[in-house]
Amino acid sequence: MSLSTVVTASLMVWYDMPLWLVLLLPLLIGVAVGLVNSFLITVIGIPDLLATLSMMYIVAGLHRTYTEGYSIYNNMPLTSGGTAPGQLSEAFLWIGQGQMLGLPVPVWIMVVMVLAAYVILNHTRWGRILYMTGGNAEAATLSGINVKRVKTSAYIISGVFASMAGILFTARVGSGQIDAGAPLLMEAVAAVFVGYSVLGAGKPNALGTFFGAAVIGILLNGLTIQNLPYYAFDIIKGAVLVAALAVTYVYAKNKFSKS
Amino acid sequence: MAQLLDMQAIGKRFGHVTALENGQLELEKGEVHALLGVNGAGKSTMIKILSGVYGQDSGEIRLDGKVISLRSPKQAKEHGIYCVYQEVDTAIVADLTVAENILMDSFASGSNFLLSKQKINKQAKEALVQLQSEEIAVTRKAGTLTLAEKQLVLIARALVHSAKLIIFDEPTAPLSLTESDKLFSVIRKLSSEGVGCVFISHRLPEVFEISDRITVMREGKWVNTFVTAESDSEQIIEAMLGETLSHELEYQTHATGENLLEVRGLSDSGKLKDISLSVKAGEIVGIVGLVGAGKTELAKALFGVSSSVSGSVEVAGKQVRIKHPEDAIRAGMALIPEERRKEGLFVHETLRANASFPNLRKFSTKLFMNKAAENRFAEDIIDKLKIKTGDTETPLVHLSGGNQQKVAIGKWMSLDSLLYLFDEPTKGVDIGAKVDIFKLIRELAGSGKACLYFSSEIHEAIGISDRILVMCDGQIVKELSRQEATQERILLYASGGKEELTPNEKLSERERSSVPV
Repeated sequence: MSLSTVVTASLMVWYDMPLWLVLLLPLLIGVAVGLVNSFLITVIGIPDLLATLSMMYIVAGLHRTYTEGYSIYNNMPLTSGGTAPGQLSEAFLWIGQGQMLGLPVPVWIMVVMVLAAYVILNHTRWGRILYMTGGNAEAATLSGINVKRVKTSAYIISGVFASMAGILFTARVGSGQIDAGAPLLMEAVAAVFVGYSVLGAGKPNALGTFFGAAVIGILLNGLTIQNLPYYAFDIIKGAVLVAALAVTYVYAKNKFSKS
Repeated sequence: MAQLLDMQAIGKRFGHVTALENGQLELEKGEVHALLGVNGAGKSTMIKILSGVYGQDSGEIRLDGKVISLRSPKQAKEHGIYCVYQEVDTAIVADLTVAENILMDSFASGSNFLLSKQKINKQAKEALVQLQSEEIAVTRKAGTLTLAEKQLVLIARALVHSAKLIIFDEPTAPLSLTESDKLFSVIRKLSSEGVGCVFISHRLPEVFEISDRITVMREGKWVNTFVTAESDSEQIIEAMLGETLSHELEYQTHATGENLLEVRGLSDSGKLKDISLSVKAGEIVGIVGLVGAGKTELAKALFGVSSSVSGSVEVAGKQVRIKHPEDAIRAGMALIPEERRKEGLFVHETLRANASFPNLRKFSTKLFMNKAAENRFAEDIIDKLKIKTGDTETPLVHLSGGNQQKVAIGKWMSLDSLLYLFDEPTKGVDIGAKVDIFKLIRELAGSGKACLYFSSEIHEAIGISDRILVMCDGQIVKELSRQEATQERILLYASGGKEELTPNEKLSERERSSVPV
């Protein structure tokens, strides 16, 4: 997400590219990162968590190197001298800051994505295959599922979603911040687990995750209003994650002991 | 003989489920007492109460006439009650030596801070000698032992503490026949020294071979205690099931058709060597071999799970190339794998989701899943296979082993597969469910499907198969027709032996005589 944030901004500010290309290229980068992840996992056989963790560092390093450590903003001075030729266009900023029918555009985008994810995960063949592959890859293989293909597509989709988040972030704040995505990693994980246990679905699910993200968002916003210093936020985030995990695992323990 | 153990009116509840209502078990010194019952009868709960894992809610346990309370495994051990679990690996520390494993309990609770290696080795050695197993070097890492040797280590662990009572929980399940025999001689030796043994097994012939008395449990209650010498297996099975068992395990004839599967020269990079076989429509072919003979490997190679398989496979007269289970399913095959919880099912998912999974296309004609159709199918197989479950939304973890196995078979029914590969379908399944599974396999064959039945339970394979192929060391060493197959002959070939020694001897004589003297 950090990478696509700065790429989006840099494409407009440094290279003055047309809007469609500005939107498309970061998404392609998301696809590429997803492909590398799935290559490491399905072909080489590195465990999922370790492979993506290593990639996280590589991508973070890449985006800092790419920007030479600077955030990107309109007509910023360049290290090579002079200023950057471009600006973030009005049309682009509308994606992050505009309104439609009284609601901000990013909210609309989120609603569409959450609904799409919900429908796909719960009501289509693809969703079923994704859940089953995640649950027991060996049994899925023996039921005729090409697990490698499923994992590859899952990582690509995940890369694309992260890229979309990056684009939205850029449009929202109006500049390409480096390390924009870093604090969001734990929030994303926490959102999944809050949703996992709160709605009692007993597995990660789209609506629960939306709910979890909303809870964390409101919580952090509220704390900001209460003047809690930003450096204390991690304590809260960590505590939310621990609480969500605790509920999840206690739930799982009870579920097992019944059998 | 003096009474050693007396468990009376033992009760145990888990939440609102009654696991044990009236458990009873008596044991005399030096007695081998078999505890039998179908899955869910309460055997394991009894054992766990006796070994201190659970405390009982009601009833009392007397050891040597005194009431004792067993609130932890440690207390049970202090009373001389030891348990050899089926999963030996959970009780063995792979990185420690044999001697350290044998004496683990003593230095886990001992007062000495320093351990003398020599003393430990000596004590461990003595225990192994007692078990006539001194060939196990006490300095070896326990992780390098075979399953049978690990069991012996656990028994030795019980011995060094002069155990009064040893519980064997399905000890023979992972063992080969010779290993089982060895174990039995160890059990006999222990009992001759006055140690009481509780023996649990799904295999009746063993129970009759080793035990003095048999206690049968059903639905958490004591049913009856038999003196082994005065009872027969039908009596026991009747007590276990609560009904007489018509001869389901016996063979029934049925018609067969054209060749459905034709395999020529199949080999893989590991175990399998040049395997050729054919199965007709409506035929049940048993593939029998000891544990490790390559049966599972063959099933997986046929189903496209293994890599680098060579040889030709024809299904219904058409040459097929199977690189992935996807191809195998398209060609009309279905695999019921050996490790059903790990490979065959999604145990945390509902019965409905499991049942429809191999054929999702059928249940999602357009974009969306048709849950009504899924439910209909799930109910269909629940009816057909007599699966005991709450409803179609029950997660499979709540089902017993036999019922899970039925789901693992039933999930293929929507595909109308031509060829079913059953890999040890009766493993860990109680007699009641076994009978249902046999019926089901016969029905499949009766409707013109071809079945390959991979098993190491020889008498079951003889009961169900039209033809038996014996595997040994990755090869098919013998084909026996139904009439020719006997337990002894199969065992002989499966353990790498040959019949008709006379021609061989003649040959070697001829060879000898042809050598110029």
